[in-house]
Amino acid sequence: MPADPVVLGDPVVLGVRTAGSRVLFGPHVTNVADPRRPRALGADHVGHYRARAAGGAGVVVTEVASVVADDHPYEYAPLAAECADGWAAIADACRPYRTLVLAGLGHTGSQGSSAYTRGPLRAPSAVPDPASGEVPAVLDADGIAAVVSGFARAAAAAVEAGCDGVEIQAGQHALLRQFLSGLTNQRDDAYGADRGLLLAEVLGAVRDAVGADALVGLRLAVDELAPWAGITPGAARAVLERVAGLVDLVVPVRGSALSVGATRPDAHTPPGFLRPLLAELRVPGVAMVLAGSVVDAADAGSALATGDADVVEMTRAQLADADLVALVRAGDTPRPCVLTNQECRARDVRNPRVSCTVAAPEVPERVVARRADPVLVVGAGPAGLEGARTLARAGCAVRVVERADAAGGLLRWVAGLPGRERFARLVEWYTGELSALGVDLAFGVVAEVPASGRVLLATGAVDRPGRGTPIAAALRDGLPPGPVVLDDPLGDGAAVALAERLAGEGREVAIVAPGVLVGPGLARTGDLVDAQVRLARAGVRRVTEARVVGWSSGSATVADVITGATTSLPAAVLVDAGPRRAPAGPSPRADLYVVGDAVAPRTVAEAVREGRGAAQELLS
Amino acid sequence: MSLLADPVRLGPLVARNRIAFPAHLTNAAVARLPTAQHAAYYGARAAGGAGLVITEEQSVDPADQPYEKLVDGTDPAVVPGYRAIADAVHAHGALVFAQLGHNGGQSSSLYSRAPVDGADDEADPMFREVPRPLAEDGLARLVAGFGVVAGHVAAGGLDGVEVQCSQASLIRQLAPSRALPLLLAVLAAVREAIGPDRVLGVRLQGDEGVPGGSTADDAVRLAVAVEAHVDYVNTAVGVATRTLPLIEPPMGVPAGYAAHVPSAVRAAVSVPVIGVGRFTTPTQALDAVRSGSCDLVGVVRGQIADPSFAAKALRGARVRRCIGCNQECIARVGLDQRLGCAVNPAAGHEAANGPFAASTRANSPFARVLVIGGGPAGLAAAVAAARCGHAVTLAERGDALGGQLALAARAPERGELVNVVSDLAFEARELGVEVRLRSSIGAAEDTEDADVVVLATGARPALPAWASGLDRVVDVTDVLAGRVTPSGHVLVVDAGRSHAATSTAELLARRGATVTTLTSALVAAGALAPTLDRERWRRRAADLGVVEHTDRVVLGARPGPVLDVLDHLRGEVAPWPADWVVHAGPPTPEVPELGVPVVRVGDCLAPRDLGAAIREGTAAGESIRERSSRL
Repeated sequence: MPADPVVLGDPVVLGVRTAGSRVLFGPHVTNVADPRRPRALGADHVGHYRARAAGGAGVVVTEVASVVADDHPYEYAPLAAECADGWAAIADACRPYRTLVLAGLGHTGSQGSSAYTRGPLRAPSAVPDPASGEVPAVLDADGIAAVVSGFARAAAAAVEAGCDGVEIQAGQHALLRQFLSGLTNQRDDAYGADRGLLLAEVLGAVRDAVGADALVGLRLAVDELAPWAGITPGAARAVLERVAGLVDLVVPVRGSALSVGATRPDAHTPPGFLRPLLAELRVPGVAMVLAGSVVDAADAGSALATGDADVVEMTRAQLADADLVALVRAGDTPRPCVLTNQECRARDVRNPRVSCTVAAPEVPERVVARRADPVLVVGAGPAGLEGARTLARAGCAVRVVERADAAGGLLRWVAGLPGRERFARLVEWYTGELSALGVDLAFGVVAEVPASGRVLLATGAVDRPGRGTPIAAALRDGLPPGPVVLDDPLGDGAAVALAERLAGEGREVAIVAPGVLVGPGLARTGDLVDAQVRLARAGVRRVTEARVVGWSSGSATVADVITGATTSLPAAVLVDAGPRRAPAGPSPRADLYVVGDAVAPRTVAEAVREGRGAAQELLS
Repeated sequence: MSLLADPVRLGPLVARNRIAFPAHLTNAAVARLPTAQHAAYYGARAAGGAGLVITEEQSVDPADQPYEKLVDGTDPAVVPGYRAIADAVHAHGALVFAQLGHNGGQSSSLYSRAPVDGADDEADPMFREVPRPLAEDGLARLVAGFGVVAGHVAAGGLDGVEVQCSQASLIRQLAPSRALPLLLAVLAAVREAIGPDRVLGVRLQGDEGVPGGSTADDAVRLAVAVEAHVDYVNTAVGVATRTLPLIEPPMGVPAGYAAHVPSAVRAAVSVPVIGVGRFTTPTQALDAVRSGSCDLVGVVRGQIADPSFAAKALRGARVRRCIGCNQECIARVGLDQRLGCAVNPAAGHEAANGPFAASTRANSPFARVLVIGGGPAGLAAAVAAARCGHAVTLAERGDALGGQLALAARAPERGELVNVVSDLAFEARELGVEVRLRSSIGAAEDTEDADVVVLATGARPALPAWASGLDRVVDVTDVLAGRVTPSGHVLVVDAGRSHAATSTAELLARRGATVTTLTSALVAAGALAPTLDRERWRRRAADLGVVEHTDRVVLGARPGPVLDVLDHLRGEVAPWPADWVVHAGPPTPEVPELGVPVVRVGDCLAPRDLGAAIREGTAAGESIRERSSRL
């Protein structure tokens, strides 16, 4: 009888250690450092990793620490020399859960920043990074030696601090990748003739530094999506064969400086996109990790069951639900990652703390005292659903009334947009949770807000009177035929997605935006460039630094915001993608809380956060 | 300069002269508290002679946080920081006020994770987030917040409070019928908190620069209405999140561009009035006061560039001028980074280095220093080394100083760049640097007389491989230097991140060429945005008929010249013929092999901007401590 297939909750032997599960929580920018110790791993890091360990993660890779001080890619980028106490605290916090802790170690080379060091960037060759445009200084022999010894010293320190090992970065944002790639390595010395030399030297030095008792992981770019000069899977396979004796596990990733968004893409890229490459890359003796938008337990389980992967990296899925492994073990469904990247991509000049659209980590889910008085939740959009779930889990009697005939609020219509389909899973998850909790959901009910009694008002926003069809109405009801102009003062991505859908239906579409690009809000998600490509290829006309100033008899008048020059665009239909507004409603009172878009129309993240926060207030 | 030296009474206190250092963002706060850097930064300007320092805004509401490093004045922990600022400024005889404000709807929930409180529910154009309109109870909370923070200001020993109703302010956002009562309530609360012995001022918006926005008349009306309650009125133009270039105008905008606002206010009220508006030289500052447009002149960037601006202005000495490049003060701050200055590398690092780093190191051993290259990096190295007491020779291959900077300054609207060269050259002369023009250093023996060699040889233009062998395909420097005169239809290929392409495009368009630019970037002239140059460029480009194309990659070129251009969004390649092609791309470091140890600074290390050149040159000059580093 064949053995049971491997599942993600099973332990896995990695080198000389055993991880409690086969799920890895990968390195990511958090910006949760204490600003007084900006390059150390602080108490909030410990909490961040402890939560995933407690939830069943088998391996945690800490936020990448720079191995030399002149690599300072973002303000709160950890520096290995300042991380010893943080690594120790994280290892101590995770050890009770049989979670292995690997210290992420790296150097970002030409993808770093000169803003904090005020010195030049260092790279294999004087090739400017496409993002910053900054020309780096070429690393000389002394500089290379400092990088090698920096990796070795940092690895020794991490293991000394109690980490189970290290993960060496040769993936996105990595000097070691830049040395491996013909895109960025144009040297005429030994490190150019043999582009894998530096990686081999670093891994050799790291292995010497940590000995045989610690794990050495490698995060390796295996496809730079630039076959004319970049790393290809074939070349990566050769690199892996060369270093196989030095590493215990490898995490293949993809993307180069030309395609940063491809490394952790949003939902426009189907999940599990690296799985087909794993067979080609597998070398004996090295555990294979599947990374790349693995967000569903079923997909992860399949990759493990077939033996394609030994471990799965589910970073964003564990941001959405820290208890992912524990829930799957128990047969429950974790809160689904929606792959919008709106809150978890923290590598942004404003230093946002890592967050999550659906998890609202700023308001921790906690068990609160039961209060018997029932609560009426008005509205079954994300704010109301989260509030109802929070209340019901505390044992509070909840009744949810929803005017429409189904749950989800605006998400029902947003989920019909390309790249936003996974919001339907979120709504489905909420309704499943509420059903399991026995919450009464009444549809088609327009509630009178009672003058007394405990109420959570989550009725969403209303359309603002203006020019053309409000975007919410367009999503819900569709549009009459003919050319469409979308007036998009917000640029949060909804208008971009609607434009794509309309163009896909064969319409003539233009999108008008006041800024230098359409969809500027997509910068945070990593989809900004790809969105421009999709719009251009779909034939959508992008009219930037402009606003719609008139609309009549089938055409819209558009004015340049700087010069004032006007043009006209065919527009049988004008869609107003500007913000909605909060409805007039009852004033908050001690036992009535208004949440989400009914306060001010914003995003799902605010809806979830406020729904949970208000529910906790009602329970306290 | 006697007018500038006249003391001026501000309510209960007297400022020793007419030069103020008004409020501006520094991003020096850590964990929303003032730091030692604030104290050192303001102290340096007081030491440099300023009569009045006004701190950057201190918010009156913990939830008001449009940017990460905004001080939360409601936290009692600010008081020791205020005390340190007061001590640092008072040590040098200047007054120091704290600016208090609330950004209202000009904010986001990114940090607070709470709804933005605005005057109404209109989304701000920069933050693009719909606020929650503040009701009357919210306004009452706001008034109380002003009182709390003003109490902290008094407890910290600062001399006064300035209430911000200008660039980023909830009070400004309110309709006049709500703004005036709120402002009066705020002023009363602040006065209550600070008492009669400290100064209370208000900063009023005089020109929002948007259709239907407020004007100088509105500022006058508000000034008259609050005159009885304040000791002075400060003025401003521009909205921080909408018309920022009005507030922090870039190179090319004339001094005094905002004078109409203080002039109008001063004519209507009897309290002293502060005027601002890109005053970068003592003469401009003096003219502003002498013309009667204001009682005190606010000089921000001029005093960032030269902390001793005021003292030098009073004694008629020459300053190191702000050129309005905005690269380090505006652009960095806009990116959440600590304020800096392209021409004054010490700015933003006063706490670490002391305000006058060089003079404190003047006792390092004497060395003979040879600086090779007379661009900004070499000039800065020579000046810094000479200031430390070393004997410096500066060898420049060409027949003039300035390097690439002198060339860049030939472009329209970029002429002020040359001020950096002349100011550094002046300092070098004053410090006894021996400048040798037309002096080629090519071998070790040329450096025999030097203990230390600083290499500042810059970078040379580099045309891409596709340009080789083609006629009428040239580098921007060929155009700026006058070696070629492209005409007809000119394609300018912007392959860098600087003003080079736009400067050249404008120069040629003004000469009558038909100019088209192309860049592989998503945004045309994107490099001009962080320094606030882009909007003015767009207007000029439109006037000159310059057409800009984005998302275009040059794959190759043929005689004609004809470029093969990929539209990388659509994946389509098309031929682009032209009479001339002008290329603007990163140059290649010029590193002569001298066979002796050298310190490389500026573009010969890695081609970057003016700030990097001056910073590295200065650091190299200041770090010479040994008689010989040739070991």
